[in-house]
Amino acid sequence: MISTLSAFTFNPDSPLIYGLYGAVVVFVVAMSLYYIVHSLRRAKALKMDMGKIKKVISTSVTFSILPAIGIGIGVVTLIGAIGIALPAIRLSVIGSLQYESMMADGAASAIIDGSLRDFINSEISKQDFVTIATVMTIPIVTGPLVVIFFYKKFQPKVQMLSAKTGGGGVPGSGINIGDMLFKVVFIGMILGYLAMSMTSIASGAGYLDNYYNFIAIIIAAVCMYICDLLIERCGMKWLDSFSTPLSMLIAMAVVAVISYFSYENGWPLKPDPDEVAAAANIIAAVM
Amino acid sequence: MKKIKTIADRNSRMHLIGRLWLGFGMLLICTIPLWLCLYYDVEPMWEVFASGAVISPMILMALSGIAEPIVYSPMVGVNGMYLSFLTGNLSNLKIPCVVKAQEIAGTKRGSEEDEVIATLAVAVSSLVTILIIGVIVLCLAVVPDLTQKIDDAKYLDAAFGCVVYALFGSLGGKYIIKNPKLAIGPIIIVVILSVVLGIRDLDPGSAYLFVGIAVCLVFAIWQMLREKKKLRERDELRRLEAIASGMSYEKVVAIETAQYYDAHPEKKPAEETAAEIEEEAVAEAVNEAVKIVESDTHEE
Repeated sequence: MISTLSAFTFNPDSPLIYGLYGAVVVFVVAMSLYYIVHSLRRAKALKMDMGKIKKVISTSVTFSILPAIGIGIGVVTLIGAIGIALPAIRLSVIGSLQYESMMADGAASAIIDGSLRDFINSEISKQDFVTIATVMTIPIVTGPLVVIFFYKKFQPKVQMLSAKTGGGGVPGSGINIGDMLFKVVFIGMILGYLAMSMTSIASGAGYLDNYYNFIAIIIAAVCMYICDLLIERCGMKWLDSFSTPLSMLIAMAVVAVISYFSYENGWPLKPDPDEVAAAANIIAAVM
Repeated sequence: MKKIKTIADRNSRMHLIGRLWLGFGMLLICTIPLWLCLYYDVEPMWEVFASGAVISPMILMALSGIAEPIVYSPMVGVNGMYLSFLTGNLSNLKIPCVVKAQEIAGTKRGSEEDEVIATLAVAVSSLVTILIIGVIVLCLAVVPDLTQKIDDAKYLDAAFGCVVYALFGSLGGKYIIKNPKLAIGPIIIVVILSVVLGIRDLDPGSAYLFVGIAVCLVFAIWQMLREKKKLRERDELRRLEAIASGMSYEKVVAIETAQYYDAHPEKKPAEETAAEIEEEAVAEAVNEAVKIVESDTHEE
């Protein structure tokens, strides 16, 4: 994690930026509430099972808590460079911690010809702050612009394609393309995260923390399997809404425990870039 | 015809409302740097946008911004798209949440019910996320040294650093087991690729998501072609059997269709009433007449 000690020559968390953050929160809450009310009305009109709707809502709440805390903690990662309110704005709307860190790092490199860590350790001016805010905002607009201007045009085509069935003259035979596309995207995403965890291991198999992501995937998958068994074979239906967050929590707890003992017992971990940089400076000074 | 018209109208209205929400939201977000410039009375260093360190991630984001709406649109539906493209965190929160919600509701893919469930999941998830971030921001602003305490608790960083992996692990295992034909081949390819890239110290990061989807898509197309070939072979066999028993091929297909609808009555298409057929015929005639009038006017 990046050190949060940095030298701002001004207050990055001004009343204005908190006001802007407030406006973003109000807007997102209003939009979400509008769509919740709209969907509930539509569900009633379609005579959907309201019991299931309630379950969907409660599951979506429990499901989102842990990732949301993870996103919230991500604010801490960026505090050193841009204060509290700006990362909160950026992480509350389109974007992600990975993207924000990448753009902040890119802007910092361009401003001081060094990394984000060097930038945080330097004196940060108003102009640096405004530059980083601009760099983080502009590139993210592509996705929403595509949705605003082109989604209406290609959505019916995607919908028609999804409704088609590949092959088969008799109903029920062949593969539904919509179903297939859904599986392709979701399994592809699972594989993407699996690949990220494998690359991390392969790039430094000697460091224990490179295994954390892979451990989390495996433990969560095993826990989910056990939960499914308990739901289906032991009739523990109440577990259904909590099985995903519970599996995630157990996986994260296992990683936290391993991490705690790694620090306690001095097991091999990736060297802290700040410490590496400090050591390099000392060596350079001695030479 | 009336029903078709209503669906098209509703679809068009959903797009209009979604565009308005997303348009105003983006206006609010994009003007934040401008407000900051005015407040601090400084201008951004525009030359930064010409540096490689900013251009390369910008290109990556632009490409991802084009691909994401196409890739995710069949999953989140119309309303969900407009909402999720304002609130973000699609791959690491909204999409898995939609998948879980649709799994619970058991809705038919592409149906209106499916769309309702997806929108609800995205909206609820957005609310929870913004509220939790708000609470954390409040704590960070009010509690002294909290930032340093979180910074010092390394195990917290490790645990929350792998939250997305835990999420995909919990949902993913079941999907992979249920779809071995689609998953096993891509898993082998992606694992080999990621290990090779890792050994060479190359990390494509989130671009892996698109690699995973692309490899799966290739396997899905291959699987569909194989399925099509199998069905063609089955059709040939059926035709031969029909000829051998003195029955026509169409008759065999009709019998199988009827048998399928007997087994799955919920999938049987609703029969049109005489009034609906008449209404459609009138609408078609009116459309034809309008076209003729339009072409005449054009010629004049």
